[in-house]
Amino acid sequence: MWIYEKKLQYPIRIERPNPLYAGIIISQLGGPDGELAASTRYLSQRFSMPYQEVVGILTDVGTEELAHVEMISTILHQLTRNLTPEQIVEAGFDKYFVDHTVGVYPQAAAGVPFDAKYIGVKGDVLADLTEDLAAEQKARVTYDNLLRLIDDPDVREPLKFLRQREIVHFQRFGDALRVAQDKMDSGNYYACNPAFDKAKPKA
Amino acid sequence: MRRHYSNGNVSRQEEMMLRLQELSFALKETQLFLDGHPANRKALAYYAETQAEYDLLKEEYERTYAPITAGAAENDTAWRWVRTPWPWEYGFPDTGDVLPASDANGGGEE
Repeated sequence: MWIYEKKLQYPIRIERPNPLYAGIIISQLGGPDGELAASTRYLSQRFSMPYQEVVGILTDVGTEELAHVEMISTILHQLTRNLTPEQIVEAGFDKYFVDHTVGVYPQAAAGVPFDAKYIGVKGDVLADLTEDLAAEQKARVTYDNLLRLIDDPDVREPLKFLRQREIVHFQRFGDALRVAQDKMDSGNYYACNPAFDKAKPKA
Repeated sequence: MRRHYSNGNVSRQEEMMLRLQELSFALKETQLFLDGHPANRKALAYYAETQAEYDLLKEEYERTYAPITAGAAENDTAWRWVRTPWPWEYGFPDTGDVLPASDANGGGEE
């Protein structure tokens, strides 16, 4: 279960609305490497993970990703306050607006709705953990790209924080992979999948 | 203390919230580290010490301003959980996003 805390992980107060920024940042909510995909991926992978430490990392990183979903949603909400129809059309936000007004809906910047196809749950220790390492790097690249396009410091500061979290999570999944490999057959990590096989198969 | 956004003064409430955010960030960071290094004594001691500081400040914040977890602090005359701003509304009194102070403090209309 979870308990909600009525606070953001990092402060966000955006003075100047900007629907163009909202239209690209939305990829970090519902895009292929966004925060919703991240939390769903890690929290789902926990159930087949045989090692306590790794389940802890999946649980706690996955939970932090939920706080990042809230941060990105907050940025989107604040960037779309008090807009006029003219500002909406001018920024190209009209195509989103017609379906969602200024509600926060998980989709990629190109308009594709969130899809579970963005995540992998293979039920295999090495496959899942290496997917997680790659996911953190891909999310980091997406933040790099956003920071190349965005000038407003009110928006950049929380995005920079989130970018740093991707790097830290990559390190923590590195810990997870090390712990898992320490517990696996060091001569042949692929000899069995400890998430399924009860014992190493006979040669 | 560094300002993270560009306008206005920092109220005592915002300052306290910022400190709570710093402390819970330190806790989160240490938690993730401890998951992969569960016997690291230095990290264990740091976690306990930071948790104690967080708990004290959270209790004071909730008593003075607003609940962080539902049901915290006093709810004698109104359920304060829905009488205080949500995090995404924080700091926009000019837009009507934030409830008036009298209402935020509990109101009494129900």
